[in-house]
Amino acid sequence: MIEFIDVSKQFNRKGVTTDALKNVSLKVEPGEIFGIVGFSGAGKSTLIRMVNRLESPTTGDVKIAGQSLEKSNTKEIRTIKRDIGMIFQHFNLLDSKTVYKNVAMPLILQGVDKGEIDRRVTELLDFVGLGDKSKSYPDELSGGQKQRVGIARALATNPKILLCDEATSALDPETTTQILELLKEINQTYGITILLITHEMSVVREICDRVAIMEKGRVIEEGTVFDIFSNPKTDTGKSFVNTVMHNEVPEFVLKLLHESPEERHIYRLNFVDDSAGEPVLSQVSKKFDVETSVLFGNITQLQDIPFGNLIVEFIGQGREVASVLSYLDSRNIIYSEVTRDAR
Amino acid sequence: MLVSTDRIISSVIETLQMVSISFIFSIVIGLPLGILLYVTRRGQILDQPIIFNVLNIIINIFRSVPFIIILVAIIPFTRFVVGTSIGTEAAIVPMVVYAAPYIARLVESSLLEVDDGVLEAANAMGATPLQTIVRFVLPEALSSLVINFTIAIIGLVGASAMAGAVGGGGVGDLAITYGYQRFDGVTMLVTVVILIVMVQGLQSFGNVLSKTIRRK
Repeated sequence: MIEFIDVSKQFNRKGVTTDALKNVSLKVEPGEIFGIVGFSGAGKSTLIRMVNRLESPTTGDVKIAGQSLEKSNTKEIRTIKRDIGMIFQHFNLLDSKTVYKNVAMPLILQGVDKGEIDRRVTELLDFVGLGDKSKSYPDELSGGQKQRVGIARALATNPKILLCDEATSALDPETTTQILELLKEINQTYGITILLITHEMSVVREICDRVAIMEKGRVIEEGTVFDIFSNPKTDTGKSFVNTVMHNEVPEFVLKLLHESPEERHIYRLNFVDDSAGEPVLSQVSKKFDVETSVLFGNITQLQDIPFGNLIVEFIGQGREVASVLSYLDSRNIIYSEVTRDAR
Repeated sequence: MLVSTDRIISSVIETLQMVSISFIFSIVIGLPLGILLYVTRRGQILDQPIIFNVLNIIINIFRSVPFIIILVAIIPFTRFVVGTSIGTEAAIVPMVVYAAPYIARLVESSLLEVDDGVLEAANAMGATPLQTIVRFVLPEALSSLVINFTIAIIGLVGASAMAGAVGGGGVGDLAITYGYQRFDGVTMLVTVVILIVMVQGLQSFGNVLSKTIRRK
């Protein structure tokens, strides 16, 4: 649906050139919710703006439903934009217009007739739960309500793609949850492809199917939300995942490792899906001559799949521990040794 | 007092005519110029730095000449436009020459106040440059435009009084020919009071109007 092909972007301000994006290639499939996370300045904002041509790449191309933006002229791009709705962190509503007029605006621009506008705006305001606010002005609404107006406006032209630019970053946690639920509903009801950027990993966990992590203008990691959350590969990826998963090795475990004179066998075990419910640890104790001691653990759900994270110490001979590990391998349990410099 | 009440009333009407007519012409010329300044600015909707710079310099030149100089300097032009250089009509020409570039600047600054996010939303919706100005920028700037137009019209009241110095008619004329040249203190006082009332009235009206627009 959206395809970034080797996109690079340089900004030139006062003779100083900065690379905002470096050779980014990504593909967003139709109907999915794709999240891009990164710290501020990572380039995610520039990237999302390439989809509706608020920014243009220095090199590379962006394709929307197979259509190249680089090869399209201004008029064609305007037509493509009708298929792309966008919501913003600061809502970007017209303060001088009523809620009704704000939502109607994209239709007015296209010269849709009044009756049709009326039908569509009423339907949309009902959908976002603001049916009674059509005559209000944006400054009479709460942040969550403003974003609902933004969403209704973005959907006015029946777009195939919805871009969300930090859409919940200015909202409180409860409102954020409500808006995310609304976005999920939009995705499921209308099959709209959603591309969102955020610095909040909880947003990604809540609604995304796939996620890309950006750093310094590059995509450094990409995969399903489950893969990234259960097994982040880069340091930035890990630190993002840790913000919501609390996967970091607790301080006391590291202290244990540091202060203990002899070698200790401490492992992180990740249980996925069915294996999360299985009594693997008790099996290990029965089968092998080791004692297991759970130092830390939690079980969460990722995309409706149970995901367990345990930090376990195996107390026993090195050889026994080695056979425990091969047993874990045979059970498809992801594990990694916790070392002194672990994070 | 050396002047009759009728005379005062007729000069008030003259002043109002001068101010309102020159105000309308100044808006007709200044508003499009201000919009042009706004859209051609670097990084703005049309991004035409050359046009912007040329316009910018021309407007600065007009803006740097004091009104009293414009009044006499463009007499040949005034004569060409209205056929005379004395009287109410003749005062309107230099008043427009004075106020139009001023209004262009005020319009530019009002439009620049519009939140970039609104422009981004317009762009995301695929609005044409004309639609962006008409549907987004102008409505969002309207309240601020009204405040700035109030400033401009008050400037024109001051200019109209000065135009009295060259026989432009109106309240200013009265103040100079009677109050100043014939030492008639009462007339001077009355004209000053009239001007104060006018300015206060216009300012209050402008404030209320701007507030109403903001709320609506």
